[in-house]
Amino acid sequence: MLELRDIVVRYGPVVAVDRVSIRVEEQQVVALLGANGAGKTTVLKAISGLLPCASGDIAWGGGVISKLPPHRIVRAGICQVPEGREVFAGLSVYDNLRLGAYLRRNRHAVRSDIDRMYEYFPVLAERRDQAAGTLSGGEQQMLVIARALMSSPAMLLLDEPSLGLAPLVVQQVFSILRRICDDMRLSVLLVEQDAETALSIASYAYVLEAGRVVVEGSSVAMQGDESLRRSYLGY
Amino acid sequence: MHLDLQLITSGLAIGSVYGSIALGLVLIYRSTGILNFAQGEMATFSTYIGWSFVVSVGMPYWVGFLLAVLAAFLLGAVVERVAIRPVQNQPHLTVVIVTLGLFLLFNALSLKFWHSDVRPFRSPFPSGSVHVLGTYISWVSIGIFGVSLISMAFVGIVFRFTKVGLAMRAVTSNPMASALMGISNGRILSLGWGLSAAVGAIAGMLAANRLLLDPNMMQGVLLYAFAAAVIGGMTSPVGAVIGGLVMGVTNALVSSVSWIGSDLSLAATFIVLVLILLVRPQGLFGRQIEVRV
Ligand SMILES: Nc1ncnc2c1ncn2[C@@H]1O[C@H](COP(=O)(O)OP(=O)(O)OP(=O)(O)O)[C@@H](O)[C@H]1O
Ligand SMILES: [Mg+2]
Repeated sequence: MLELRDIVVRYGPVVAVDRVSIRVEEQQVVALLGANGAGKTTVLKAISGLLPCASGDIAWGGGVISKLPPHRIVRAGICQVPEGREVFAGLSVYDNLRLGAYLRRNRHAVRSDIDRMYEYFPVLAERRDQAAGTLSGGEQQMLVIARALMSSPAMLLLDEPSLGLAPLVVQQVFSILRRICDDMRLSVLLVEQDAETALSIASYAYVLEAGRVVVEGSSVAMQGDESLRRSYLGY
Repeated sequence: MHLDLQLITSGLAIGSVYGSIALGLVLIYRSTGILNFAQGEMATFSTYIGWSFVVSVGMPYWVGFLLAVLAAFLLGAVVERVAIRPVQNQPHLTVVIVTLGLFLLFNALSLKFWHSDVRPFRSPFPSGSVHVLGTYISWVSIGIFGVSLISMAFVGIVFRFTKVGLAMRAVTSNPMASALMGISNGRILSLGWGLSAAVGAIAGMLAANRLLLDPNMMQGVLLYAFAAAVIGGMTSPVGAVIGGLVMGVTNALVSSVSWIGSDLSLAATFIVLVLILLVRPQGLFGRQIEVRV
């Protein structure tokens, strides 16, 4: 279980995340929603250790991880797919996937996992020797998801996987994600602006506004509450 | 200008020394954007360490050589950790000042420990020549060229074919993403500095025989190495090596022209550099990776 307890994250004097508490149970998919600039990416960066928490702490699997550097957090089983498809542009698709498994020692298992990713995302198999920077946006998004899964994480942090993708591709990516979460028994914290799609896959959701959690509740409750949807989720 | 083989091979030999230092510059530059002005002085310092092992302690040449390379590797890694990492997010000029400071520091340390008198450092290669295609090529030239090439090839192999090399390329390509892969960027950058320093130390020890060992030995070399890195496109390791060879051979050839001579050869070599850059401003191997967003 991942638990953020009253975390505060600042950029210099600017408070971007203000006393946020979030829980993700084992094998649960939780959505983190909110408009541009609400602080969603900042929350994920704090979990991954890319930004320090000014106060509060983050617990994971019985320990506190909020003081660890990013590579130790990956080692602890939390892997992030960052916003904006951060591929290794000059490296091949295959090398990108290998880097996802950087911390793993069992070469045999890594190789079979790469094959598994090629099954989930056949287009990556076709392009395995192509430089990642030359893939289309949708293909890059699939690559960064597959790359994160190569670390065989217990928890996946996804930052706006739908951004800039055609609706059809979004559906495709999400249905594969759904399958993978079940197969790999993943816990997921999913950041999205597209609330409707996110709620269709998550069981619980938080809504951030100006760095604070303003609403939280089960997906079913949110989907059923029209006035809440109108005022916070924009659909 | 005599286009003879002897000149070319001696140019290749010293050029491979330029190439080694240029390779170190490029490895650091492409991963961190830092120009390490201390690259040459760190090599000189390591060469003195090797000299002490071989001459003062009396170890067999290649044992002292390997120990010095090891020492240089550690030195490079430590310099990254204590001098560079604390300032790497500071403005560019700050980092430049730090590497200039390291230049002065290592120069002063060499002077302090080993004084300024010129020291001969015997060559590990036989002193004779080998008869090839009607001319004589010295074993020393062949040895310098061969050993530098082996050391640079070793770096290439590490980069291409090992997991650590893959991590180095990842950190260079996208440091945020590499941290999210579980790579400790700091450790990888330290390794890169260590590798650069080790290659530099090899070049220094090879050059010490040709240039004679003194605390300022590598300063001219550093100038040529910067030029070589620029010719190679600043971010291409292969380009840096070839750039070094081009500088070495050009320098050997122009200094054989009687009215240029060795006094003006540096200037003449740089004119060649400017001409190359006029034709290919991005350097011989400079290219931009296409990125679709
Ligand atoms: N590096 C930074 N320096 C200063 N302020 C920042 C920095 N990064 C983000 N911010 C500010 O912090 C706030 C939260 O940003 P964040 O990127 O977390 O938003 P977000 O919810 O992810 O938005 P989006 O949906 O547009 O990605 C914003 O007001 C933003 O301007
Ligand atoms: Mg964001």
